[in-house]
Amino acid sequence: MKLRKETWTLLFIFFVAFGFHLAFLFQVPFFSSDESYFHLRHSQYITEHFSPIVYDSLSYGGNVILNTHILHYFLGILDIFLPEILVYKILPALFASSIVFVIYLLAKKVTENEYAALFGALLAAFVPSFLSVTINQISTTTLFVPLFLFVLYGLLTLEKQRMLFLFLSLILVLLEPLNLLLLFTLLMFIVLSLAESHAIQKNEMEAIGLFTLLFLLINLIFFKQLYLTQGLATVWQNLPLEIYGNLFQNFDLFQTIAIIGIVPLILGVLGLLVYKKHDRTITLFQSVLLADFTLLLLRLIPFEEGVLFLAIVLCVTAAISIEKIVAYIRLTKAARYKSLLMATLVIVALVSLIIPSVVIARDVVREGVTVSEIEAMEWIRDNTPEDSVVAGNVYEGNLIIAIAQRANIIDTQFFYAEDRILDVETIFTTESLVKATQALRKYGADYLYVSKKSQDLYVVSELPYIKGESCFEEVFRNDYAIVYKMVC
Amino acid sequence: MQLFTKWYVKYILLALCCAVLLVVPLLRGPLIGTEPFFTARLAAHPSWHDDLSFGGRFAAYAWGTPLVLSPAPSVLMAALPFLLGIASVLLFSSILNSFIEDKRLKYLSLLFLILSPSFIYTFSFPNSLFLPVFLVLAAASLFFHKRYSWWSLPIFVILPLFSILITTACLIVLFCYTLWKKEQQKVFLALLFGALLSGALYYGYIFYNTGWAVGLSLGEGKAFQLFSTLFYDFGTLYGLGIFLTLLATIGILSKWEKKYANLFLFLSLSFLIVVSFFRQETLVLLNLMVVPFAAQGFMFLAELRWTSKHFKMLTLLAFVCGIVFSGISQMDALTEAKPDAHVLNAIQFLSEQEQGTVFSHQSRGAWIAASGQKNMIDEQYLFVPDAEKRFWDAEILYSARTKEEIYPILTAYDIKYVWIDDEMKGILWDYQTEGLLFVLEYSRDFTKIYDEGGVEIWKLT
Repeated sequence: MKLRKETWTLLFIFFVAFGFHLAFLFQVPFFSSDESYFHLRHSQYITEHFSPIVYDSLSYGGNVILNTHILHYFLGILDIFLPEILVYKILPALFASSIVFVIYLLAKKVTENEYAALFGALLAAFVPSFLSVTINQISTTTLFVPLFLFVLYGLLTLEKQRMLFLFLSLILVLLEPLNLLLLFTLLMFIVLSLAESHAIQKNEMEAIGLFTLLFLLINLIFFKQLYLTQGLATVWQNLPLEIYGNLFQNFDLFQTIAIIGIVPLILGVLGLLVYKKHDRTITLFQSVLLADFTLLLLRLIPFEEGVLFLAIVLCVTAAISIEKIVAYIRLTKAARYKSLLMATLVIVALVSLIIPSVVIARDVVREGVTVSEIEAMEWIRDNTPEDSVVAGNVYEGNLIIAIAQRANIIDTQFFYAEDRILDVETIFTTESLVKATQALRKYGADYLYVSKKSQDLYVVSELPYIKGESCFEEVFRNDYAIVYKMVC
Repeated sequence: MQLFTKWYVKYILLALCCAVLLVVPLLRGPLIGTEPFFTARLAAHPSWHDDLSFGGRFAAYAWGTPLVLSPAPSVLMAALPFLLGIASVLLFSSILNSFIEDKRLKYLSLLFLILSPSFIYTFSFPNSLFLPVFLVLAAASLFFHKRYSWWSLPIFVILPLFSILITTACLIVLFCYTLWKKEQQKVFLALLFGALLSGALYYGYIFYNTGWAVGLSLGEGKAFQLFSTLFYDFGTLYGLGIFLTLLATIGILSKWEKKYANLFLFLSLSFLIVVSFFRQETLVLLNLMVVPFAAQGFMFLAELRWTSKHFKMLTLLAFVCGIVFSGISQMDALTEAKPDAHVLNAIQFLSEQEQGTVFSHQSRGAWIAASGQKNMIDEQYLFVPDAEKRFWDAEILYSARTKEEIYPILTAYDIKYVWIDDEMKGILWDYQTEGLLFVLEYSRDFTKIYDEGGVEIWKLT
């Protein structure tokens, strides 16, 4: 089979994106996020036992884990046949890089221009916000984003790709049952189509109806107990208010522009403005943007994830700008410099994206989880009694369980967990020894893990109540963390 | 859909109804929640004075259900909900005969009714709904048969004794019907008069003895939540199934062109939806109205020309799975509901203690009274003159940490025992040593006389 030039170019972009991931993920032998260790532990458990952890005796000292485990089964089963490094490191990178294919397909669908579509794919390969949540990490986002885009593509090509839509939308709901983005997008699509007097095709209505039903059914089956007790508030996933603030409120305009990328932002917005043809494809992308903003306003999607989808849609609409710019240049006297101008634009776009991408990727790999952090965790694993409880901050809980193999007092599995966030905050911020020990004793903590991450999170340099007191004995220290044993 | 025209379908539906209604009684027995304890106590000793509720009060209750059960409380409590559940399906079928000719639609409606959470809740255990709903169905069935319509009068005369709210809602639905059909108006007026008369006499006697019913101003501020008020799947006790409602919406939309021909149904449905926001009991009537529309919606989808047979099959399958899931989920919730064996043991223990008033959360009041002890407060607060004062005093007791705050109230209500359980701790306190818990733990005046399975009983010494 002879591949066309465009296909080779697309493959080249894919391999560049994949190579970018590999270049960073092989810099460290571990993963760069606390969440990765949650997925790693659950996947490895499935590899060993063929069944998921339903009740985790280490999380919160005992907590029901509410998860569909689709990702864990997928990785766990592959782990039986393939080497670990391939399953947990390379495969997620492969999924994340596959975004270039679907962006290419979508951009081509909108512009009907292969070069513009390739440009969109190239932008998508280096979206900083996407890299920050996927590089050297096991995360549902790695799979969710490409699948989400493939489902949109399936909806736009329903006559040919009916089964693609059906199959992928089912996987998508199972992967993240409480993610409302696709549901909202499809509902917005209906609303916008009606508002713009576009006839919604019969097969689209059928597909959207079926997806809505599957979404409801799967949600009610998995989260029945939560819906019965919390009602629709279940969609907030029992997230503590304090965590909520961290996830949604730290808005910084310049940082947001940086993680979207200045070129996708300008070209993407321009693409939306100059696209005059009001057809269903562009209506669908407008629906994604509207759904994204609505979910951000309702705080039903983490800020980072909201920005990520915004950036990805802008990559597709940036292709429209490129197509229009090329068409315009052709009409001017600068037509003979078209290739030069386009090459310049591509280079500018790449530079403006690659620089923040490299910075973000380097930060994620260097600071996500550090060697010293792993060293501290391994010390806890090797030097503390097996039944001891370690108190760390909420974003270290999965590390404590997975690497130190000890019970934590808090982690990010909030569904059935009691709200301990304020007590943990007290432990790290109070000046009172009595209050701190009360909170630690309440959850039976034997060790206190004080890391640089906790110091940054709670804006403290050291814990005042430890100084000069005989209640805490320092048992481990390195440049990143100190482990104290409670002795009173 | 042709399967629903076979002769044996009705027998299969009846068998399914028996199976569905037997699950909860067989797995769990009749004692679910607080209502069976309350009803059983009243049925065993019918009297206008209740010695145990609120420390002794005029028994201003809907006496219909306890009186029907009083000849043999334990037997009737176990058997009657099941038998009346089956009878209700037959009555509902008879009502449908008056309106629906299509057998498929009729049988599908019956299937959806049997699987609906509201029906399963009503007829799985002896609660306050099963008798009024059965009577409403019996009355409606007679009313819609012109030859027997006058026979519905005696039922409407006794219905206010079972539930004044359901009687009123039913009368309004029948009013819509007579307005639309322009027939049976005389019968309706007789029903209205009969129900008003018996209701006025019954509640007049109660008002005469207790004064006007007072609502409590300190009730937990309930937010207006559309979904968790109406739908079982989102948290209400016996609401509509979400999939049934979706199908019913499709059914209504499919019939919307003929809205003026179906004005009675749409009017009644709108009325019941509005009332259900404020009074949950009417959800059982709303469910009866929603079910035929849901069947209509299902048939509409099944007969629609789809672009893909895969989409069609999966959509219908998803609806069926959703409806079945809601039903199973209701059975599971009832099977797992309180009181568990630990609470029953505690009730038994309490019944063996010497007489005294027991303080606890109002939701435990019926259990305490079932043990033969007086409670300070319970959920039957209507017509209790000092209910509000008692609730405020209870609030003070929950949060009090000093003897000065506690003893005047303990003395005023002659409280001898305190019942605390894990669920109650979750509702009332954040810490193990908060408020009353602190006093019980550290005061020498209280002795823990029972502590098993998360239930603690303390005695004032």
